[in-house]
Amino acid sequence: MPLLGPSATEYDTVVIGGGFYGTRLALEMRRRGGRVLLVERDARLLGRASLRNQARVHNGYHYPRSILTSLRSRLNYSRFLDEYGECADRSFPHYYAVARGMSKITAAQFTEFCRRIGAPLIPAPAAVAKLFDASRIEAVFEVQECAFDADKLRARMSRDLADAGVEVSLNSEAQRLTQRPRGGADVRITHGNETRDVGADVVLNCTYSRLNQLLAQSGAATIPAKHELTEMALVEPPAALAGAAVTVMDGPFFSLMPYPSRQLFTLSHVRYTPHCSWLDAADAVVFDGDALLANRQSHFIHMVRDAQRYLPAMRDTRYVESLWEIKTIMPRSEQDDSRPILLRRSDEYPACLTVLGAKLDSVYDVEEALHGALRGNDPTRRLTADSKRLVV
Amino acid sequence: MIESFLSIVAPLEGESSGAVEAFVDETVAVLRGLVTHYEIILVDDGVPDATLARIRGLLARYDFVRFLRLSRHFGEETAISAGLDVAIGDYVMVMLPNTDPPALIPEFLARAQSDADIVYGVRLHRKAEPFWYRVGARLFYWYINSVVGAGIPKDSTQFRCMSRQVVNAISQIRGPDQYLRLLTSYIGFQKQGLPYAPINRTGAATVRPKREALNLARALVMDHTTHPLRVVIWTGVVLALLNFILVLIHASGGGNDAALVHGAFGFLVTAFMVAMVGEYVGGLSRRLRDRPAYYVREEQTSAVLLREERTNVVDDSQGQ
Repeated sequence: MPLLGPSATEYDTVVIGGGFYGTRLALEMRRRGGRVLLVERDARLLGRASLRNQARVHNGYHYPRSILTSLRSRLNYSRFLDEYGECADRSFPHYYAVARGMSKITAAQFTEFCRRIGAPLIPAPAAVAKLFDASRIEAVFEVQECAFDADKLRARMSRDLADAGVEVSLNSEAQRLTQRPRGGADVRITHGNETRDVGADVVLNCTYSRLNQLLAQSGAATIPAKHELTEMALVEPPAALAGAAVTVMDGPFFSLMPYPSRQLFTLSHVRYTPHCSWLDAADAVVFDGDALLANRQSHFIHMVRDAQRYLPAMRDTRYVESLWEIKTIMPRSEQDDSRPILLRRSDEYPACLTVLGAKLDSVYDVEEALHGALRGNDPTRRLTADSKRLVV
Repeated sequence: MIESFLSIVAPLEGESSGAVEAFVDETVAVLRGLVTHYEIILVDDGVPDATLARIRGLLARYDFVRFLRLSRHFGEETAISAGLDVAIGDYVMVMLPNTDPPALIPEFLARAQSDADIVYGVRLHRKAEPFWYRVGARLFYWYINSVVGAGIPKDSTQFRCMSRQVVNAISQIRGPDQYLRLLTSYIGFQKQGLPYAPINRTGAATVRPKREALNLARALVMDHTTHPLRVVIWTGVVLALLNFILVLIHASGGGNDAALVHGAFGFLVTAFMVAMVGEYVGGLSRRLRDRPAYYVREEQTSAVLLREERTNVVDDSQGQ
């Protein structure tokens, strides 16, 4: 992997952000032809939000209040496993428990929902069901959902990029865009002490929580986005669970998921995982949330205290450390619990498309949308105005 | 600093919920120096809109504040039991924001940790209360403790600290009427009273309206015991016996007036008996319906907005 800055000054596509989306889309653009440069701020790919998350490959169960998201999720689940099966960990049983009282769905509704989206669902074995507190849990089901190993995925993506001939520039930060008179844009990239302007016909902004940093620094309108500082506890799970994953639905509950790349589990909690939040309002100063990641006080105790009320065995969970990350969503996702994907062309820099997804496997939806946005157009030509904003 | 997790449950209702800001300010100040982990659960049981905005402010200002909104007004007892259902602490304290002083939290917790499973507050005096209320309270405690033996400590309030074991025991009891003071007596465990002088932040009336007080007394008694039913049954038996004797006297040539008066009185007692039996049957049918005691409309949790970055920068150099 090259540790140098960009080797040339002209590319067909510059992809900013070397997370899963950025690497996928760089490969996709390379397949369309032309030179592709992938710019990553860190010293390695897939080191931020693609690494610090639940590692859950969604199979639809998680979104009983948004059937569209669930159906897409089901589709993408099999596509993801077909393509990246080697990076998936399918060795553990996964149980979904439906809570009483505070849950937004009942067990009967959840069963019906799974039937409608065609997701496999069977009652959990009695030995597992009795681990839960029956006064707080209505029913426990066994589902089919796996986790991915972020390290294996990184190795795979790096290999694919090298094989495809995508140029990767690590330790490099895209500072701002400049409009070119004949279309396309210049991207100012700093790499160590070096600063260089690189020209591109298409710029893909795949920087997730930093999506507005580039836009604001380029003097472009920002995209309304809500950021949350999130904490997931990395833990050794209680022995009683014998390596199973547990998700309690559907409300302020918890999830215990294998985290294969560390041989540990993540414990996350709808109530305690978000620590604080802020909005990127249009035309306001964009706040750099990375400053918040250091020296946080963990909410692990809160998570585990609540979790053991539903699953008493959780008391024996051992805390190792926490994964801190900034999670970015579109404000509308909060209302309906859907996870749409944003693909938006900048008004000021028509060559620049910003991509914001929520789950790894949704990348397939982005690719479809991206093809739509670029269809009929040689990437060198300016795109038509009607495909300017597209929310899938 | 005590290595423990303390939950505070505070029901908010009507006017007195205006005290919520001062209450949370003081409580957070006490808790921060007292325990390693804490949470404050505010249960909305009919809060005016103006107070809602202030609660949102609190959620943005302090960590570990939770706001539980019930689907409608269910009453203080139900709001408390909703709070107990979601509390996650090793110890749980119930506090009424308007009257219970946060300064006493350390004392309650210390006693709950060393001496008793339940530490409950006891009013030092009822001087501020009107005469009729004091007499009524005295009568109530005499009846419920000396006659039927419910074991509700005299002048005890909702202000209390309970161990996790106690909270679990209480949350297992399900029913439409959750009277914490009765449940506390029912479940047993070690108890201890802690006398204190209630405060009054808002200056709102601290005694219940007459009707509410009477209703509460009736509900507490009937929820605990069928003693009143037995009293009227025996009264009925005695009167029937008396009636029989009177009829005998009448038949042997006695006066008419006494029989008339007695007949009227007998009717009154019968009506009273039917009413009381009706109350119990009503209570029974409420229980048989077996529906949830409350519904939660939404839950909000502290989302402190960039606490660390809040700096003391002003844009107006002339402001003080």
